[in-house]
Amino acid sequence: MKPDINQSLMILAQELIQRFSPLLHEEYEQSRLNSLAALIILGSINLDKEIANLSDHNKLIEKWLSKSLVQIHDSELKEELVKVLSSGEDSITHAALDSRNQLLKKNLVRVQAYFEDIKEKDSLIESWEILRKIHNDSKINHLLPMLKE
Amino acid sequence: MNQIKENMPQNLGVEFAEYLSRKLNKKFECQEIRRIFGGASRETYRVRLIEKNKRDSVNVIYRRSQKNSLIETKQETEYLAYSLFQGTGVPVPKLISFEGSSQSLGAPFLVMEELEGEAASPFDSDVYKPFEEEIGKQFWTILGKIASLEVPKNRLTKSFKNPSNDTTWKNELDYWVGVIRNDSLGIEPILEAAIRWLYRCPPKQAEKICLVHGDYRNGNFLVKKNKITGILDWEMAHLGDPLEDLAWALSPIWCWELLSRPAYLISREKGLAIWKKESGLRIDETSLNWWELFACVKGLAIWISAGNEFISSRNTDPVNLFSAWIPGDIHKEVILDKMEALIYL
Repeated sequence: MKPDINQSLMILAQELIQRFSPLLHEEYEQSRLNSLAALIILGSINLDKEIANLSDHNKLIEKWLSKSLVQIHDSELKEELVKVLSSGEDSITHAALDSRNQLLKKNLVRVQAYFEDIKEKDSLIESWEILRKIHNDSKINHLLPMLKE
Repeated sequence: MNQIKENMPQNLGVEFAEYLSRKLNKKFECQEIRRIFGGASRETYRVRLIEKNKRDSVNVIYRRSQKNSLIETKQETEYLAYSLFQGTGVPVPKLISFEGSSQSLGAPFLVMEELEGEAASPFDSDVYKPFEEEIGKQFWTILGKIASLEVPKNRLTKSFKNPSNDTTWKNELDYWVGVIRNDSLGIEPILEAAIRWLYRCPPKQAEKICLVHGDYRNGNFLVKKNKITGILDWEMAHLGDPLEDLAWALSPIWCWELLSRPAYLISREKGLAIWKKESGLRIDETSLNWWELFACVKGLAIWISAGNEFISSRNTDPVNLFSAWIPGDIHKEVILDKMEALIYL
């Protein structure tokens, strides 16, 4: 089995900070290299769960959009939503899931705006619960203290 | 490679010394030129010069435009803002020279005297200890002074747009939404909901139009022990509502690890009381709430723009990727908190 990508990236980043950064004489270049290495570490932490998250989030949004169809009285919007929901993607590559995610988010935005206009509060609250979950799953701001070290 | 980078002199220090010698009619030699890390809208250098037949060296700050900057701003904006506060109660570095064209040294630039003090990271919660109270009082007092200054219109209106009291919010929102529309790499429902709310529920008209710093926060001032020695980074300055700066300075992103102390200084209540006293202005809570949500949208616009610069390889400075990842994530979370509070009302 090959070395795990996430772990390898972390070791490479540490190598940059510990071995190569001290060789640079310019303070500016040294700071730049250290920041780069810290960002590689940060990226490697998130890499692992990214695909599973995208897949979960897509399912959540699809479920909410399907449920919302009942409350939507705008026939054009309804028709387009049905089309989007029936065009599911089988591929589980990152690119395919991400592209599907963007399409679903675009429609979530449209439906949220519609519900704001007709003051459909319960459905809006459900949509915000989904957005909170999506954010919590993908957030990285809690890693800020690690970057400062 | 962009035009400005191509035009960078081979030996920047020598050419800079020659430029300043001509400008000030003196004979300088460059002893050292060092780029300062941080900030992505300008390339900032500390230059140590020595004048012929003089013993002591002098340090100046050389701020040079870069084409692909995090925030696209005119160097003249910064120059005008610094000019306005020379010799006032708002501490700013003394201006030495300004070049608005790329003829000298390949890019527009400002030269200022170097002030004493250090600029801290806005993400370091301990950096002002043990002087948070004293620095905090100065921080909000100075912002009050900026808001209270009567802007000499004849001088500034040539370069700055002159908004009316009731349209300034819309001008700013339109501008930053425009940045989001241009630079966004994908759709973000949290941000879109905030934008819709901001257009739907505008603030009251501005009590006055003042010079807005545009990025007044911890990290953008110099501090020496317990004293703020200079307010820096005026490149986003514009005329607008004084509450805009107030809301930006209060934004949770600048005190993410200690939300009870905006800018990691004193409490919100204390800060606002000082600002009100110094500026002589009122604070309408509803309008301030609007500007605080606006601050998050503006912040996200900046971080989105930074991410776009990085991923398109136009400017691969790691600060751009960092901005897109961490501050972008923080501002998204702050918007989420605010929008949830609105929806559950």
